[in-house]
Amino acid sequence: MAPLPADPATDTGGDTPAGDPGVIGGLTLIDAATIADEPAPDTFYRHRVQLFPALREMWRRREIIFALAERDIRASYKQAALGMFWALISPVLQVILLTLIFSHVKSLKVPHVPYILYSFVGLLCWGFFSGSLQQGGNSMIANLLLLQKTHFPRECFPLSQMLEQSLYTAIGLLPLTILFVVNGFVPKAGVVWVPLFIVIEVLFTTGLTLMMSALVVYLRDLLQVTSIILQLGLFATPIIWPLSKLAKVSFGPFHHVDLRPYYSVFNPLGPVIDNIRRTALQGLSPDWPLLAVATISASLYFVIGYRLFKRLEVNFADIS
Amino acid sequence: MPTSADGTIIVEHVWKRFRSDRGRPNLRDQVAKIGRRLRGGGRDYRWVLKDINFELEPGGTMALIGINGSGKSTMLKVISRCMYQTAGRCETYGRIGALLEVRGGINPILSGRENIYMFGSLLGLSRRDINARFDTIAEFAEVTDAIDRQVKYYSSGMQVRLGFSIASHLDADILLVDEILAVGDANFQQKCLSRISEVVANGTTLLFVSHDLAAVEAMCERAIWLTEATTRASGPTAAVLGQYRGAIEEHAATASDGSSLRVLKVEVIGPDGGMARSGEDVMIRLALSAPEGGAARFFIGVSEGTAVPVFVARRLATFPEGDFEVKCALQNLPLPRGHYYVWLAVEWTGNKRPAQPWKPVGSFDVFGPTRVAPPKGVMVLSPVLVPATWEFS
Repeated sequence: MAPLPADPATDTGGDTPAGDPGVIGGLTLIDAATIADEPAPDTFYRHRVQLFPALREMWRRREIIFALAERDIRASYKQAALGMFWALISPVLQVILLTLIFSHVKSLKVPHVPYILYSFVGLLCWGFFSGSLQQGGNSMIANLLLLQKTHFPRECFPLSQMLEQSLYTAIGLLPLTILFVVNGFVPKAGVVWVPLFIVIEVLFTTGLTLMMSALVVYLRDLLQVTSIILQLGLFATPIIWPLSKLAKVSFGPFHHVDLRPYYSVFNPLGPVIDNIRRTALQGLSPDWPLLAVATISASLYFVIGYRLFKRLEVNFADIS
Repeated sequence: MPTSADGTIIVEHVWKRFRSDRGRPNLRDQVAKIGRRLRGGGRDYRWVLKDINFELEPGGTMALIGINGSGKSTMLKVISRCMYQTAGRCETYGRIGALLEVRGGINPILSGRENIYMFGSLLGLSRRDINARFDTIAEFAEVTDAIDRQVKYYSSGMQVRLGFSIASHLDADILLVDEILAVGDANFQQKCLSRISEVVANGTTLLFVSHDLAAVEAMCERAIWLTEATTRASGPTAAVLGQYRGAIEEHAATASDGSSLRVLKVEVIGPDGGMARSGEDVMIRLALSAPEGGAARFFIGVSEGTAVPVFVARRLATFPEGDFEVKCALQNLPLPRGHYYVWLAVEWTGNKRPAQPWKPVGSFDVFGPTRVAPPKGVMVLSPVLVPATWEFS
């Protein structure tokens, strides 16, 4: 396009806009041939996110976690005739089933504690963990559109699922309370320790959920693997059996080995559930050495999970 | 970190690549891929942004234009931090409001009211902020009466209006807009543009992606034209658009087609045989060659470069086999100064099949008064010059 010479003779007035067609002032043309094939090696973007700034940013945007959770809860119960009642039904049915099956097994009996209370406490802890892992793991791919089009911290997706699960767990406290009343059982004074144990469980669950949700974006197969592992985990975690079963294990050349510390490293849920029952139901004091192992392990799960998540988030929008 | 004012965007040598083909993530493909990589097989990515540079001051307005796949949307995603650049520096200061996909955040099962709260929170508004703006948002979206109805019972226009309305009431420092005007009726489009210019007038920085060149011209002071991942031109909007329109015409003209007519020569001349001038008579002369004669309808259109003409002249005529000339005289040419393109189509009268499909055949310049710019944020569809006499009393 050639610039036109000014032609004031025919200019009958009217504002001359700044970008008058034909004026080439300020226009930069770039020849594609002058652009390199690759960027300079020292300009490559490195995604370095420190744990604490990331946590602070997430805390600043915490309303989003609530909004996502609220949206999911509203959406999932809006069209169900029984609404939130469903959140109550499933744990109750599950515990009735487990109690019917296992309360007759002599070796699982715990003195002075009704078995249904014993198993329900374990089941509530397990429900929070498995629900978080399953739903949280699925959360990134369930929100693909938002993931690609909005820009709040990505961990809001799995964390909102965890928030949702904690609500369901809280709802599960209602039948638990009823069971306490029906059995005429009063929680022991050690129940004051329970919040501490819950913190350990939340740390562990958060770490694993973040890890899972990030990896699932890369490899969807993990969702299937998780659901299988969780089904096994229901029995591999001391829910229907006491942790003390691991205190004296004999296998091969070894006799009476205490497996509990090793188990606690892998699955901090074990000591968490065990200690909730010890303090709240059995009236014993907390098992501090095992709790220490569980705390360290859960913190490691959390830090590793969070860092892995932040490391992998660079490509979330590209890959999904 | 250097402190820049909120609303600044700095994009410096930004590169972005995608893996070109991930293949299926099954074992066999993955093993094959590892094998390829071990043998030192070629790179398996492609660049979607190459060395993009620009800077926007607070309150600045800029458009990204280019054909599909030229990297516009990716650039916006990198700026909004949905994606991360592969290399280079991309910094923004202040709160970003991204109108990337206004329907994405809308959940069909929830009511309009619930959606305003949910989507608003996702975009970074606090509950208190939303309370304060709730009525404005509902009113702007024109859904006040349907606010407690589930959004799945909304018309698609209403859904888009709701999404846009929420997203445009963010009070962001930077507003990123990606092709949202393609939906919604003409009324709402204008309303959106007015809303965006209102936001810009309040000092928000605007980065705008659209194929609607009229909207781009109405909204933005500067523009960047992207082709095949690279910047082709940047500068004042009108100048960049001129380049862009010219390239569309070139592209269309070189595209092969199955026409049976050949255009030998195109000339547009003024009354004295010189240049075309606004308001005066103009003659369009076409030299054509036809493999067979017959009766056909001739359409001659004049456009700014795109296939959408400013006006069209039509004439039924019979023509002989071989070379012939068509003269089309236009009286009082109603075009302001600028560069225009002649488009031609010929249609057989019998079977209405095209002897020549609609395509650009030439271009010409018009001398005369420059086009009068409308108020900011108002689109002009095509430039027409109408002499006006004003009287104030």
